[in-house]
Amino acid sequence: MNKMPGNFNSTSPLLSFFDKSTSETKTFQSCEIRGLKKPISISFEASCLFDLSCLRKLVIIGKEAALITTTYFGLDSLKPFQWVSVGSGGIICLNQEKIILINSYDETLIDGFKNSVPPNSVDYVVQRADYCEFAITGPVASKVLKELVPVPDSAWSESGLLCGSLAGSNAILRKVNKRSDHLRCILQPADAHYVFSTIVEINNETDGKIGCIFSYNSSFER
Amino acid sequence: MARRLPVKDTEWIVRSNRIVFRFESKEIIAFEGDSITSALIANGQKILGRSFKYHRPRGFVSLANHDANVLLQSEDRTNIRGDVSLANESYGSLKAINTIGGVRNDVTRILGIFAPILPVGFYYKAFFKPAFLWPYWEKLIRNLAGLGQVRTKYTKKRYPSKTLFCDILIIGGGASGTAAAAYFSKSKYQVIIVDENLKLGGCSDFELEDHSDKIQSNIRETTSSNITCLNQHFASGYYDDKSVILEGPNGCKLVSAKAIIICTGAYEQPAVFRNNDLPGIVLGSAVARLAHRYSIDPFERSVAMVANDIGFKRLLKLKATGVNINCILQLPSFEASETQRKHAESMGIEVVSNVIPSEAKGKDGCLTSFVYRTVNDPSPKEITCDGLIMSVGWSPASNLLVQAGGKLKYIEKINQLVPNELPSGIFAAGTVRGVYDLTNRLEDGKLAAAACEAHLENQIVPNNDQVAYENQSHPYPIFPHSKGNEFVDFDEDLKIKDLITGMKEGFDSIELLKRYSTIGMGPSQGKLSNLNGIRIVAEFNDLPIGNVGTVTPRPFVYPVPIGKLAGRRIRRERRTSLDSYHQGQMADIKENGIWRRPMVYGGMVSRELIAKEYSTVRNEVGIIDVSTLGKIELFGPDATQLLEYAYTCKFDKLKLQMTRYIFMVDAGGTLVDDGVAARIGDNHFYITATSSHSQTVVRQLELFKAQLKLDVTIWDHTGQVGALNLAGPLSKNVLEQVTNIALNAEEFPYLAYREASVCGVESRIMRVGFVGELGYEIHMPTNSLINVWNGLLEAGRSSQIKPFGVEAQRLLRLEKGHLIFGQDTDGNTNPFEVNLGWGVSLKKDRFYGRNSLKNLKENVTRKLVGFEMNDLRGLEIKENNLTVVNNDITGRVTSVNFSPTLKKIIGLAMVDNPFYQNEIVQIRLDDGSTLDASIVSSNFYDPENERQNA
Repeated sequence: MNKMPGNFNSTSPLLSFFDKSTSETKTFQSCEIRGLKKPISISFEASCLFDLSCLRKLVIIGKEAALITTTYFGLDSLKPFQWVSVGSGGIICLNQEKIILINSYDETLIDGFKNSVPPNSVDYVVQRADYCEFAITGPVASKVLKELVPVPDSAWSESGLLCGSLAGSNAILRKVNKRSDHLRCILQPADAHYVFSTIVEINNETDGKIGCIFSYNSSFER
Repeated sequence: MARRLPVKDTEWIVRSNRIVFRFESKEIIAFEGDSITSALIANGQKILGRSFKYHRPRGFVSLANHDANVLLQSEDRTNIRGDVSLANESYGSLKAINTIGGVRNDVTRILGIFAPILPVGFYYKAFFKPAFLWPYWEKLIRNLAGLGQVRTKYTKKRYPSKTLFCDILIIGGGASGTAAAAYFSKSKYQVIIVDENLKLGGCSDFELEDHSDKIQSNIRETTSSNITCLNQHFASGYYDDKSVILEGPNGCKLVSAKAIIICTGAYEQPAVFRNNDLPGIVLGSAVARLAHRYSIDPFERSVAMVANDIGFKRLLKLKATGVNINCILQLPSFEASETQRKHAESMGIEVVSNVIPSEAKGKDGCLTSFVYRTVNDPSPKEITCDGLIMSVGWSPASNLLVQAGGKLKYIEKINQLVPNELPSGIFAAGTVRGVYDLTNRLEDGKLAAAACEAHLENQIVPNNDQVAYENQSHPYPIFPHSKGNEFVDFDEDLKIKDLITGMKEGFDSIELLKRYSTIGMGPSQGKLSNLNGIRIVAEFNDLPIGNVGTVTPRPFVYPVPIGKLAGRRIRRERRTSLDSYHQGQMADIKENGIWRRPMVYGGMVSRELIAKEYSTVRNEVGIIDVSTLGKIELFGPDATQLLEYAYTCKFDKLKLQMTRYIFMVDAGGTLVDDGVAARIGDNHFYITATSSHSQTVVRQLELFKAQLKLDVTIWDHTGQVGALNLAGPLSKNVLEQVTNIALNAEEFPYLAYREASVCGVESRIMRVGFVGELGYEIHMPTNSLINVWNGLLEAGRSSQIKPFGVEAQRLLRLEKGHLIFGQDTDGNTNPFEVNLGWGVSLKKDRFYGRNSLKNLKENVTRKLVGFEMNDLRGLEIKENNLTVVNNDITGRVTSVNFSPTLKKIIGLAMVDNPFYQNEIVQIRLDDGSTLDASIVSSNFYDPENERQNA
């Protein structure tokens, strides 16, 4: 595990939330997720949760984390709580010593990085990092913010990132395009069931649906 | 028969929107805006419920949930409060609670016949002899007790709870409350006003229309400002730091305020006379609510019993609205002005003075006539009526004030309790203070607001005591009858006789009498009974009412459904990636700190299931999910230095790719946590911590890093890394099928660390064991854990591999004498007491807790010892049973179990010096008897460690 990850064979922590009769197991970026048998397309008027846990992530940790990241991506600097879109993915800077790279729909971001940067030195470590990630769109997003993220708007960084707590569990939240009705949430898999089941409850109250990476892609990321 | 009055602008119902539901199988037609009770009344229903004890018929009384007469049950919910719940088709079919056979033909009304043999406190005096009958009584009482039935097949619904913050919370949206709110309408303060009704204005819309312009103007000012108005919210309880729980239609809100103005008004009180609980006997304010909000005249012929000016004026307005009022009976303490009397008579109302109530009579459970006499004429007079409207006085709605720490005093000249001392930041205005005149109430609201503002500005707070109190209450509206049945408490079916009997039996203080008789302990919390109870106690003890004291009104002021109280479940819980697998294997999963862990697989915890899993590990190979362990990575030039300081042992001799057992103590030398440290690079370590203390360990490491200014990175990836332990003599055979490294003892010895692919997943493997067998602890990214777990199960199929749970692990480790922190240690245990002195390197110049440990080493006052016994009575020994010598406590058992391998009871006990040096330890069982056990080495199983080192 100390080595650069070559194989991401993994399973989404949100599998159990999908109805087996309407979904089937699919693999995306070497991760098993539940894909809906009947594709859905959602707009911002409707509530929906999308399981995006299959998007690979790398964590770069150590005092040179920011340096090797900025050098590789040709960035001027990285500020704490900053989200930077890079190619099809992005970079989350939690602090100068902890940076997360997130794949989007292709694997070029992480594959490119891991092929170019030595996996570790005394000053940094690069490791596969397993997270649960999901998107929340529509009216449920503002309800979730109101109920489960009790912070003022000023707590969000300029790039729309919040590293705080979601229903009491550590989480990284991002307002996509700074919209309050489009959130991406990243949290540790151990907290995924409790947090997501609470959000599913709220989603149900707004007649929301549950989708996955494929429906998310076709709805918002075309 | 009740009827709807002509349409008027101010009514709350929308007649164009009809609502249909069923009550006791009858179709009820209501209008939007009707409460359930108003809809039932409008449809001619007189009996709306049955009393708790004697199942007497009950109708509406307050129409404000100040009584508990109208509690209903739907298919889905129980104890729906009819008075304050809006009629809604979603209720479907409603019925009264606490009946068998329906509200009209409730067969349990037969209990009323037994009333004479069921005196107050009878349950303290009966049922205990003969003892063998108690199980029968218990079953019967449990069946009869309680209100409503909880349906197990209910529709699950979570009510979100919210926390609101404000500068000022105004409770009560009547004349005083809205005057106070209007005062702040242009202020800088964040203000919330809360009221239980659909609309602001309180009772002003039907009692005070002379000043309605002023009130409406205050309401407009309030609603058009930034003030938050929360209608249909009940302020149900006051808590520390000016926090108040509001129960609303969509859940509870906790409001935290800097100051609170309480304008909760007063509860109108009933008179106490024979049969005063018959349906048709109601409070004047209830009839006013019916007429003005819901446009209903509930009676064909009604009589009013009046003892105050407010009540008299209100009757005249009701009559003018179209309500049938035929006669006003004035109690001796009150005489309306000549003008008012003439006004009444001109409207066709007969007015009688100096009336002394005698009794109400009924037929088919409802009121048919009222009997009274006058002071000057003792002969009884009976008047036919289907409604008796009572306006005899008020009791302040001071529950929240008292919960906030306020004190009440009884003022004789107004016959009312009023707030006397209020805590800082709490203010009161209006009728809760005994101020009834509308002009005064408006002024009182403003003055309270001004005082509140001064408080927030840290200025001298003026008081509003100059506003005049008024007497609107009868001093003693209690009229005993020789035949009894005068109800003081409708919730609990308590009569005057019950209270007198209770006091004669010695329970003559109000707090004792409350507990003995249960007065004020029903769902309405004594809103209509406490004051009359106090009056009766005063009369019996020949004391002034002010000297009797009051009962303590605890939360909740109004009933709060448990679902709303629970709110949404915001209780952190962590699951390993194998949780679904554990559930699929019917594991008995229990919470272990914030983690869920399987205790055993295949059912609830039992000796048989534990023994099976135990046997698998000892004889073949078992696999356990240990993902809950803390997993922390440290690297950087000062990583070794940090660990040397944080832990008691030495790290300089820990070789690369090797692990060692580590433990941490606090400054006082007390054990905090233990785990394993692996050196994976010169300055790169991977350490584990116990499931429940991992965050404490991380915080402590971060603290040391900052204090010592060390160049080290600490990464806690507990929730992202999964871990399992493969243990048993065949574990190597299983693992070697799915990994790419050599596992023989030479290349991968005990305590070694390796990085390797396991089932295709890059993993960290440590040859450590907790259970005393050859074993491998395998860590990998948590989202891959299920793949590795399934791969190992598949590889181990021919080796009879089985998963095992925490219970089997506890037994296995006990045989090996391994400690569980928190179970075999307590908040004072140091390493020397639990035979961990070998792990304390006092040769190190410094580490956290060193000085304390240096002293503790020389003063070991107790020790953890192993004990065993062949007598199977030892199965009765439980953890925490005491060890004794001559009845003096010498310690406690920390772990105990039956060892299937050794066929003995074995355990660990912490025993004081010098008794741990004895050969025998005496253990006291729960029943007081004692058993002797032999003190032995705690390494019960494989003392040479041949199996785990294999």
